[in-house]
Amino acid sequence: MCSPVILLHNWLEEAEKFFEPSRLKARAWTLKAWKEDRDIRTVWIVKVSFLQPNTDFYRLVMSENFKTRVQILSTFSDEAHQFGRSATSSQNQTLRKIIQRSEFNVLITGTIFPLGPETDAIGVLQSLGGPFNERGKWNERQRVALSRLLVRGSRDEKLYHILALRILIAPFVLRRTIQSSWDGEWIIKRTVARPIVEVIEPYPDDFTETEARAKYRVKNAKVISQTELMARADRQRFFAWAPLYEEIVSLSAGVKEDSRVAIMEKVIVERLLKEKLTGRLRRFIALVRSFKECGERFIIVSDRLFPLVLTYYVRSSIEW
Amino acid sequence: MGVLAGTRIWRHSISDSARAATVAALNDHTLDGIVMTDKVGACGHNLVGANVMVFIGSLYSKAYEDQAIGDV
Repeated sequence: MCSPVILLHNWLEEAEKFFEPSRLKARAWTLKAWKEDRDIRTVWIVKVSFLQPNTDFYRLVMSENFKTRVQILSTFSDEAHQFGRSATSSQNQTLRKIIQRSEFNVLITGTIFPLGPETDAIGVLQSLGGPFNERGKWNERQRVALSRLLVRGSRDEKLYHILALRILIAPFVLRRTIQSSWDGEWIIKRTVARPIVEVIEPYPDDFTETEARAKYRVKNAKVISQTELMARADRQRFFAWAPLYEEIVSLSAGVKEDSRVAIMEKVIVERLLKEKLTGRLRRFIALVRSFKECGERFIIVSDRLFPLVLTYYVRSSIEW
Repeated sequence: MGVLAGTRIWRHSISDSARAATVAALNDHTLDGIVMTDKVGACGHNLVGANVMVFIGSLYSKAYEDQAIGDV
C-alpha cells in the first residue's frame, strides 16, 4: 500500500476496518521492520517519499535479490492522481516498476482531475490507462470507448465527456456517507456547505439537510469558470493582506521554510498586539469569533499558510 | 484549536502521531475546530467530527475544494 506521508498513520489505524487483524496486519515499512518481519500476512504501508531514488525502499525493490526472491501479490496506491499527473516523475516510475511485477493493482483517488477536466483530462486518463491508439494495450472497441471520453461535449465546448467516465467508475466510487462512517454512526448532524451568512444560528435538532440547503442556497448564483475562480482567488490574496505580506517577504528572504513560518508568526503577533487594527482585521477577527459563538465544530481551510497562521492566533487568543 | 498542516504552525508537531491525535480530538469533540491546508484537506482523513468547513479565499483547485468538503 503506497500512501502519502500525511495519511500513513490513518491507514495503519483504519486497516482493521478492511480485514481481520488475525488474518492480515498492517505495518509501516522501514528497513528494520522489513528485515524483522517476513510474515506473508503483513501488509506493508509505504510512504510515497520512499519511492524516491536513494532511499532504503528504492534500493531494496531495485535489487536483484528482491526481484528474484520476493513476489508482490497486490498493490494499492492511495491518492493515485499524484502519480498519474506526471509520467516522468521518479515516484511515478518507481511505482510503475513495482506495479508491473504485481498481480493485482488498485489505484485510489478522490481527485481524478486536480486542476479540472479541461486541463487534466487527456494527461490523467492516458497516464492511468496508456495511450488510446494502436500502441496502447486496449483492443479496438475499448480504444474507441476511451477515446470518446476525450471528445469535447457538444453542449459545452469546454467540457470533455467526463460524465461517461463517471458512469464507468461509479461502481467503484467510495464516499463518506452516514452508512460508511465508523460503526454506521454519524457523530453529528451533517449540514451542507454554504457561504458564511451574517447571522449563524445553531440548527435545531430536526433541521434536515434539505431544509439547510434550501435556507442557505444562493439565489441566481453565477457559475464561474476555473480561470475566473483562480483570478478571484489571486485578487483576494494580493489585495487583502498586502502590507503584512510585504513585511514577511522582506524579512524572510533567503531563509528556510520553517524559519519563514516563525517570522510570519512573529510579525502577526506584533502587528495584532501593538498596532491599531484596520477595518479588514477587525472584520476578520469578528469572523473568527463567530466560529466559536456559533457553537459548531469547524474546519478552516486555505491553500496559504498566512491566513491559517493568522486565524490560529486570533482564534487561540480568544480562548486565552 | 488544532492544526493539520505539513508545516509546523505555532509549535504544533507535524509528526504522524500528532496529526492522528488532532483528527481523533476533533472527532471525539475534545477540539471544537482546526485550521488545515488544502493539501491535507484533499487527502482522505475522516474529519466527521466537524460539520462546518470555512474556506479562507477560494482554493486554486476546485477538485481539492470539493474533496475537502467531502471530508466532513
